[in-house]
Amino acid sequence: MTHIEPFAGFGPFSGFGPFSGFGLGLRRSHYPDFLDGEVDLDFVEVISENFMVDGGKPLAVLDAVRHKHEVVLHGVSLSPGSAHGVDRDYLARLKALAERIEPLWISDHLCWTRSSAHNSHDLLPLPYTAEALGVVCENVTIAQDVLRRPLLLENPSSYLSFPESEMTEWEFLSAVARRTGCYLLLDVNNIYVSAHNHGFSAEAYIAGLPLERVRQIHLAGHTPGPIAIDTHDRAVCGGVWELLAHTLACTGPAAIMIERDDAIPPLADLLDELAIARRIADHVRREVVAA
Amino acid sequence: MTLAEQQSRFLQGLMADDASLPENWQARERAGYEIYRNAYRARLIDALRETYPRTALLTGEDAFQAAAAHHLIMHPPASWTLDDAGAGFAQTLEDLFPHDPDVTELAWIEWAMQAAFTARDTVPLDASGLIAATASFGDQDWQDLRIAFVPGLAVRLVRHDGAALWPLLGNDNGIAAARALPLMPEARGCVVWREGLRPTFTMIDAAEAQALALMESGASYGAACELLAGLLGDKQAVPLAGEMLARWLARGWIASVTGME
Repeated sequence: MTHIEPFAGFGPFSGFGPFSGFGLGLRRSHYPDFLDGEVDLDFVEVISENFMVDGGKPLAVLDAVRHKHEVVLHGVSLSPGSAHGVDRDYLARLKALAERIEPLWISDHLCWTRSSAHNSHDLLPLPYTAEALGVVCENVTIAQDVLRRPLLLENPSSYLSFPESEMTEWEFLSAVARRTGCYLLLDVNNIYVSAHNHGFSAEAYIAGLPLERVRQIHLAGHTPGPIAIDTHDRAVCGGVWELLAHTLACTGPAAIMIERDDAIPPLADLLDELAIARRIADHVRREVVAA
Repeated sequence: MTLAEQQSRFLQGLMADDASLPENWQARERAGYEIYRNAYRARLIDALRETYPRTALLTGEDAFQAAAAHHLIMHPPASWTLDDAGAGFAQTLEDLFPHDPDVTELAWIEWAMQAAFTARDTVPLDASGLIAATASFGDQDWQDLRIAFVPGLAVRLVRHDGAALWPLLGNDNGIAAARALPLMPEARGCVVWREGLRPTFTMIDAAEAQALALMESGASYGAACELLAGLLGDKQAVPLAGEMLARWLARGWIASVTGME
């Protein structure tokens, strides 16, 4: 019989409730749109590391955007899966940024990026073993203690799986959430890509997660192929929109957004694409209410 | 194999073509691993190209890619920020292009401008601030005066006119002219700093650049005056010492001054 552990508490700091809305990633080519006009978004997501700097234009821009919008901090260098532990200097800088910006939350990925000496600057895959689970839980707990808030952990896209894995990715992610009390950032495109690459069912993945822990949903485009690659360089495909509808029928309210990191179109085009997500969410909500 | 050993091996394999892969990996795992290996190189070379766009135009794309790949092998990234991947690239270029000082000097300017871009914010001292700070100074205080320069300020001697080189590399049309730019008859100084939110640079005389570098390293104004006297003689050094202080102040290079401790 599987032993289900209760969700960890947070001692002196508490979790947070759902936030429902639609957002986009803040990208440099769109700075004038955000600084000079009004953009109809409920929140913007920024890459934490781009703003973990001493001063200058990046922080000036972020301060100005923060006056107009709710912001979430999305990191790529926490490296919670690193067997060599978390980088305390990195955490200190991230904490300082969070205190300045007061984000809705801070997120990063279920992955590792560095060894004791070198950094790959890529979101590298983990073997889903008991040892790796212990490492991730310890690192996430340390990060949450330093940042004094629960994190959101995002499911990654991956291009290889390890023969030594002892559990599925969703079982692993669920265990991390249970043991650390972290929330989930569900990247629907990443589920779609990894399901294709590793031959599992995307629906089984979603059904296997503690969906009440989902606070944010990512959407993005990918490059199809024998091994699909999470390139964020094109529009969201039909299969991912269908998977979003399925996901929203299972989860509660969440912050939904599109990530675009390459071949970035004008902001108006991304807002049009985000309108598709709004329509899908409205449709799913009406169906749920009707049922 | 522990997770730490597995991760070290995984990362070594990303950095070296000849690294052995786990024996239990089949074709599917190997194909997936190649995606990570290619992404590692492409991402880091792109990061260097973003930091050094004009240097890349000056060297040409093939030479730049080869130099960037060499730099990443010699200095694999260790920092959490991708911005640091280009640290020391000017030195790498000096080793690879020993007869092309323009390449090294341009890379130095681009790196210094990136550093200035995100340097700590500060309000430069203005004339009234300097007057207030030095109101009670005696002669010895002026001798001992030390300057804290604005964060991100950097200075070095160069053999090519950066002010002429820079605009030529703003687009593809000026590349040939940039590559043909001759050495200056004498070395001059290049100073990089941030003006408001915008990094910029200017060329100054060599003697002033050496005095600036000396004071930037913590030496006193008196020591800088002695340096100028040694380089130029008293007749030129005395007025220059005053002019350069006024110029540094006007350009917003000075954050604060202190007198005798």
